Amino acid sequence: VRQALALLLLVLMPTFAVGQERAVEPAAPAAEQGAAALLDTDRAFALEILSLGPKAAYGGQLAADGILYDAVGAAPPGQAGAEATFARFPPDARLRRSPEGARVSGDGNSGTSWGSYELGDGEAVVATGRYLTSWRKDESGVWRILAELAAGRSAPRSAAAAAPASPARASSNWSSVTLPPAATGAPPAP
Amino acid sequence: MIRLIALVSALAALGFSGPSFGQDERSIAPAVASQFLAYQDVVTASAAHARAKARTRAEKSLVEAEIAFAGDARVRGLQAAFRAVWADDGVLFTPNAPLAIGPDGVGKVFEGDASDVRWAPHDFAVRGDLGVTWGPTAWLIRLPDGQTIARQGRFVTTWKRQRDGRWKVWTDMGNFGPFSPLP
Repeated sequence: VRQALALLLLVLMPTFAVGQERAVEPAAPAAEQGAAALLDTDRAFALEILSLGPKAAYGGQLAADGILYDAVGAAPPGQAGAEATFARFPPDARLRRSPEGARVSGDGNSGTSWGSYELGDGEAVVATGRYLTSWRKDESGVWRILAELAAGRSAPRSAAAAAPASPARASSNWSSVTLPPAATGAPPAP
Repeated sequence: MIRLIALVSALAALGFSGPSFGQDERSIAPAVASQFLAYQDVVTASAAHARAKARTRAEKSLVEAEIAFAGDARVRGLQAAFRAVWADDGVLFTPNAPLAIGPDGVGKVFEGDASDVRWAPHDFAVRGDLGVTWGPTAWLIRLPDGQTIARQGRFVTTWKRQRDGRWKVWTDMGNFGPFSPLP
């Protein structure tokens, strides 16, 4: 019996050891892979914005209940929100989005990415800033934008339209600084 | 310290020296006070909207975490509240300033900041160990010339559930925008 138990133990030990190894294995590699995949998605989205324009690109990437926190703030969720937000952009507006980082949840189905943006009108840069985007995967496993917020400053030539900045949770967003106050309902700069 | 200096420099360049909490209401123009109250109404309505929408235990706990965070800021100030709720690897994205990471990093951002800020989640999403809240902010700001202004903003915050079940802020950013009702 002892020999049988010893044999059984020998057989089970490798399995046990593998199980232990899996149990203590940090989730970091999977999280890093997920983050890298989300960052790739954001980079592809940035290229899509340049090729299709922001209205079509955002319209295709937003979740049905996805929200863009623009200057007006009353834009409806989803594709209609993208239409409402970017219909106000000048025809020559060029939105350059530069993804910098991403993080994903433990289950890999939701995450956040961030980066900088530059808004140009023709050749001129009229606003720069940062964005933070919350993503989640839909039923097909495609990353969709759940909520996005942009914040930054206008370039010097349109600085008069910028709102004041504060340490956090506060700065003018790109929508509010790229269009005349009369077009967005933006309050005058203090 | 470098971050703080950079931030102060950036704010000074914008003509901003930081508002003061509990400022003398007599110095606030009635129109500004009225505007601030209107912004607060949006915040209050958003909290009610989020609370009504929250169904699961996780959703309710996330909404209450955000509301408690805002309440803590009013009672103990921004610095203490942000430090308390920040994950060790939490990141605060501040436009045109370095990223602030962890409780110490975010604590430096709010050093000496006595802003009167109100906020609440308007909506949220929970999936797995990650939660997202977004909603309006209401700011009362005193400018260097002594003038006080009110501003409305928005925020998007990602929360990560900790091993003890508590939510901590993982990423956070806000902006200023013209006032308008949330949907």
